[in-house]
Amino acid sequence: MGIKGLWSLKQADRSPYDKFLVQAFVGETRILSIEDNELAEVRTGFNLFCELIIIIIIIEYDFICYVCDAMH
Amino acid sequence: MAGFHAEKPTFYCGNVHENGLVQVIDSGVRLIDCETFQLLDEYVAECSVTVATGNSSQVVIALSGGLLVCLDIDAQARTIREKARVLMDQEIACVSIDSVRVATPPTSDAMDIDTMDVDDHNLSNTDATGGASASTETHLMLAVGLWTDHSVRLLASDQNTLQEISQVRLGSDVQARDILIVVLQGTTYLMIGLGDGSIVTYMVAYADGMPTLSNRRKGVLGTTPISFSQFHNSGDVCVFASCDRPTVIYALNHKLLFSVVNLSQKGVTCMSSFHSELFPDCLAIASEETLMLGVIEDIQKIHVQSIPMHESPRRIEHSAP
Repeated sequence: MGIKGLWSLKQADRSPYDKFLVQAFVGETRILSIEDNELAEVRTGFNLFCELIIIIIIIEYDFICYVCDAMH
Repeated sequence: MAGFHAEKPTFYCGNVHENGLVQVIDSGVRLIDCETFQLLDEYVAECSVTVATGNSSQVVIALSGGLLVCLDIDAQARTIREKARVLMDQEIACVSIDSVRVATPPTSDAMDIDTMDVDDHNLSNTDATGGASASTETHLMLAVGLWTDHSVRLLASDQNTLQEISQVRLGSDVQARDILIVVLQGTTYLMIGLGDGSIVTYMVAYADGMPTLSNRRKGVLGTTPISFSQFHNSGDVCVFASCDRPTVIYALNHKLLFSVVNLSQKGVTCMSSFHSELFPDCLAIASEETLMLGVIEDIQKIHVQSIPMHESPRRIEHSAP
């Protein structure tokens, strides 16, 4: 896994609580955030793109479906 | 999360006034709004960042080649401004900062009473008795570990200058891998973590903003490079030294005490305190293969409340007892 750095961040200066846990890896940074009673990874724009493709495949498995590019 | 650059490794990040946060990546420093995560300002470094640190209003970055740059975060304008820089003679291995309040002496006032009545501009600088009042300034103290000669340099930054004040030899042929200036129970300490798992500590005293080091102590914590982070335990600041034998360092009766942390996995690579409503008073502890959240119940032992994960953590669920 190789986490190289860990930092906590608050959502506002004067908030008493940390909201985000930032993890630095060798090639990227990931952020965990408290949302709805769980600490989960924050979806960046890139992750959301992949999920759209997967949802289309699941819904349309009865059909011949060509998934080219979720942006079109 | 637009302002936050997730496709690059982060060297440092932290909250800054007012409602901002900074992320340091290899190309420079990003100032981001805490709520909208929009990019507010960016400082592009002229070469790669190697190490970085910061506080709620400043960021200090070291660039490859030994350049050290101090940046101010303007809370009102929400911008990053370069304040001072200095070129060290070697690559920088680690850096830590401390803010020191220094009393500035009253400015000498050679005006006599007659000219004061005439010149309105000068009147505003004087108090009722005709003399200027003393004030305090905040100076930045930097402790920098250098890569080649195994020394630690102390530098001070005020106004727009950054200059070296003193240096100490670590007395070892092992590099400093992390450094920390920290106040424990009212006393300032300088801690240096070496690449072989040993630690050197000094007490720091400030006189007129100038630091002097004393009480040098050297010890061995483990066998792997040490990195430092801070957390609060029962209202007191403590230091967590991550290595293959993770240790908590705290002060009691003006003495530094060391307490080994009992953890199931071998070795800690880094740690951050994480205090949220859902998981209060926690420490996020990373090793080569796991990330876990735990709570130190007392300095002598650590009690794990969450399950360590063996893959990259995507989600941590909390089940109430």
